[in-house]
Amino acid sequence: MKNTACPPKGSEPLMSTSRHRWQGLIYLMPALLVITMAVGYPIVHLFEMAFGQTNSFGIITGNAGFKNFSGLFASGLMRVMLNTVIWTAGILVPTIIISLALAYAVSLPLKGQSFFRTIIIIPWAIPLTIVAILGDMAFNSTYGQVNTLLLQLHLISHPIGWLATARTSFPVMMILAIWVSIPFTTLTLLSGIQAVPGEILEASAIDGAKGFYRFRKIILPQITNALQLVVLINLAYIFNSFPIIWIMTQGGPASTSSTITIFVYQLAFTLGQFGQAGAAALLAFIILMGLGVAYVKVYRRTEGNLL
Amino acid sequence: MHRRLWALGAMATLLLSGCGSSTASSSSSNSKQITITFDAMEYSAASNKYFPAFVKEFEASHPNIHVHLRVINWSLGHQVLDTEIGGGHAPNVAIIGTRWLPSYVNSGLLVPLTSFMTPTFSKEFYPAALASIRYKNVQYSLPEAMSIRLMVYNKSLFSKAGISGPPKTWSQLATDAIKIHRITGQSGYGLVGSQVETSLDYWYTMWGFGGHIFRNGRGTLTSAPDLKALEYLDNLIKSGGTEPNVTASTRAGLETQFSSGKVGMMIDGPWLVKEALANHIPVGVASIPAQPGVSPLNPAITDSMVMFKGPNEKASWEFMKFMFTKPIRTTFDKTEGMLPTMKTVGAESYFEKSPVFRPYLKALSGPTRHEPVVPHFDAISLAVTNAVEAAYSHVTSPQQALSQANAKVTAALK
Amino acid sequence: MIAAKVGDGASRISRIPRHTLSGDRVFSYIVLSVFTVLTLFPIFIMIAVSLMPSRHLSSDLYHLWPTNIDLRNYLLMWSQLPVAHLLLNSVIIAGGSTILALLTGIPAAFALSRMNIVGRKIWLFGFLATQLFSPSIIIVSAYHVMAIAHLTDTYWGLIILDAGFYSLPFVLWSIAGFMRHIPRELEETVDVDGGSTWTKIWRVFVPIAIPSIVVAGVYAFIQSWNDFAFALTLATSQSTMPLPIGIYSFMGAYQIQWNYLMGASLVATLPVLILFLIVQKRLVSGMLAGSIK
Repeated sequence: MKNTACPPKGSEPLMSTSRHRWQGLIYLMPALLVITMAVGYPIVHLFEMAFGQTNSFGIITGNAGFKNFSGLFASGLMRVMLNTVIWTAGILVPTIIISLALAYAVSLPLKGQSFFRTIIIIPWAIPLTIVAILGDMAFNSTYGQVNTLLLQLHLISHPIGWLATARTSFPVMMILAIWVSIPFTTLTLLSGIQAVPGEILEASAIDGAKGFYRFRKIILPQITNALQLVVLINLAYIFNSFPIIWIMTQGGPASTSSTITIFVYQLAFTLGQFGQAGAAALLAFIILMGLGVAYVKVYRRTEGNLL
Repeated sequence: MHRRLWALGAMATLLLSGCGSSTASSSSSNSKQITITFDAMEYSAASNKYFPAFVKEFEASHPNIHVHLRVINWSLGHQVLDTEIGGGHAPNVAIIGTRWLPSYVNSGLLVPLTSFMTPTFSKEFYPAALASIRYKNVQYSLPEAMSIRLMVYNKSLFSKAGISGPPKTWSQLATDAIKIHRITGQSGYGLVGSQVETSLDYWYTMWGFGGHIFRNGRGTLTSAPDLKALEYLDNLIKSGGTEPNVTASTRAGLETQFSSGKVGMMIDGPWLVKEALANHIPVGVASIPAQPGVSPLNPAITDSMVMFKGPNEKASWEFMKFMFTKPIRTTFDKTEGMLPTMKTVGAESYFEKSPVFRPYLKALSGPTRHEPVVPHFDAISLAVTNAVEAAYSHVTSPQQALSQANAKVTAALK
Repeated sequence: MIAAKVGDGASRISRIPRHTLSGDRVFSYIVLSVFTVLTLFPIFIMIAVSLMPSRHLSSDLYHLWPTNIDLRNYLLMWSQLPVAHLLLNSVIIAGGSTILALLTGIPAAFALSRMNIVGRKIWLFGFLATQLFSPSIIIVSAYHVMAIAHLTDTYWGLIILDAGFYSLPFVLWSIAGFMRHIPRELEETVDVDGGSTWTKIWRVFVPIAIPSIVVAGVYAFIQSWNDFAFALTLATSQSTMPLPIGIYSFMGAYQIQWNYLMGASLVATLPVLILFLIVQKRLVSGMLAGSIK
């Protein structure tokens, strides 16, 4: 998508001599140091665990080659992976769609705009574990407020056992996860929409573009950078999300609602199999990395990208 | 590996030099000051009050020992403790779930307490309390918190259904439970079928049928009593003898239902009686049922206080000894609704008179049983939980579910 | 003046002629109302449960609103848990990690967006890749590092972990995305003046990039505020424990004090909402200037 109405970009790098290219790394150092301290060694250790023999506290005692990986399939990895795919896609796609709608809505000059913007922040302001605990209470099959409300409104005649089977518990937990993912996604997309140059919008109005057509044809192509960022960040968070499932079902009944993070956590801390846990975590990372790279490749062609 | 760690550590030090981090304890000028760390578990919010108070009291009487206390949430305790141990920072003294004891012992982390415990000290405990946490015939731990699980029943639902007293056998329980549901519309027997305690509620029935989890290092879940017990529970669910949606019922959730008068009976500890009475539900307490020919043994669950190997073992023992004195135990047991593990505490008139504690205290002097203390019990429990949940949700037949779990149990025992 | 220049092409959405917006506005009101109701219901539940008296909590839970309100819960809760102190811990940790992430992230974002540094794209992707690991497995080894650096049970340990793992990658990306769109002639004026690159970053780029810095800062603050995995393991005493971990105390080994739990949760939610209300104006005007398109 070419657009000529954009303000001039500074994308042409200023310093290009090779000395300067190396000198620039100085500015990266502080951030690199903090990130290395936080995750540098843990990532190395993850590799060591994945290919090593470990005791029940995650201390490496020997070499295991690929044994940890082959052991995973016997432990039920495939079903967990399938669940994780459903979980990730089923949260990511609705989150993006709903957030796009909300972001566009609060970008318009509406009455109560700042009220709505504050409302949108709420799910993010409540600590995630509290959201999970709240969900556990609200969807309880007997005293849960959701059943109480539905009964009072005569929408159901018997209380529903929301968390009794994965058929209902999985969608319920996904709805909660969508709810908590919306604020960050909406805010980031909103900032993208706010930055769409006015001239483009004006011109489109003259052309008679309206409603959904205007949104899809004029606004959407202008916010690809923001969209790319929220897709990548959400992809990682949703794939790795832990508290909601752990608190509400612990992956049950009979690990039918388990995802890869629950699987890894149980391997490590319930079964003491840190080697297998490391292998599963590494596998999950590789899959996520693959998805991320594929996604970025698809969007490479759009202009103005950082990558 | 450690060289790399050292490098990172050095970076950290560089980054932080001059930043005035508050790492070090505020040890005074007294050079003989000893610091020990104590990982306590959070039984309730009150734990954050009385544990610091205990520590303060100890420090007042032992001015040369400083206790670094942390109170860890129970549900996350195992993870936090394992992470600390893996990071080379095991505490000196800790409260642990007795299920974790064998793996700590087998990794050579714990100090046997036998050399510290004098006969007079040992005699202060109820023998059953000490026995329930012994591993390989060695006392590695002291009984921190003990609870016996009994049948708690709602007297008003029982009388409404025309049932005279609590069931003595599981067959009777099924008849009563279905009757309660038919006549009162409430649930008969409260059965936990979700999350970690699912296996525990299965043990209750399985033991009552005369079954075992394993014998001689092999799983026995495919034996007749084990299978019959699961089939029994499965039938009970199908015939409406339990609450609906068993696979959504965690213990905490069921307790709320019981305390609001919607469940006829469930097997639980004294805290349930306390909560039900607070909600004006008249309750009775009885031994848990057993099939004819099986002697009824009430299950006891005991948490352990252990000492990790390291410097300052003497000071650690001083602290442990202090934690097992009458005033400390009385405060702890009263606040948390735990059974006294020490005789002098049990003799307190408070426990004798309390409607909450009396039946449980009585059961303490009767025959009890406890979960076996073996390595990887968490793995065994998880395998059984998954199997039982699969059967409850009719994904697999009880037989198939148990035979799958049995293989895992045998593997975990190796 | 500079900011005005950047925000030049932008009265943005308001430049859409109003009459073409009526359909969009009806749609917007519907979407926003549905979301508002769905969001206020959980808040309503939290408020209702927080007011239920402890004595017959089990029976009260079956009602949407307590049969009789017990306001004392909000006082009793404080006596069971040092809420104020835990709140202060949360503010220090979240605030500290936000400042750390911004101080280190801004120069890096500058380098990644305005300089053709070695391996620019690899760095960008690499930073994002660190986000792909699950915190619950990372913590096992992160604890080793923090233990060796003597940073367990300190604010610093959590500040570094939260900044490094939760927020820096996003901070980098969003600020870099903004800086990339800042016109080049601004930079050249400084080059002529002979200012150093550092001066350029803090004197020229930061004031312009404020909008994106505010967005990134809010993000960093909330991520750290909501952290559970790290704080749980590293904050080993109430002296450093943040509020969300402290609240967990009301989930006891055998019983859950729903009323205190919900009351304390509301208290933990308020500071973030207040923060958001304070920065909202900045955020909005900032976004108008075109943060990350």
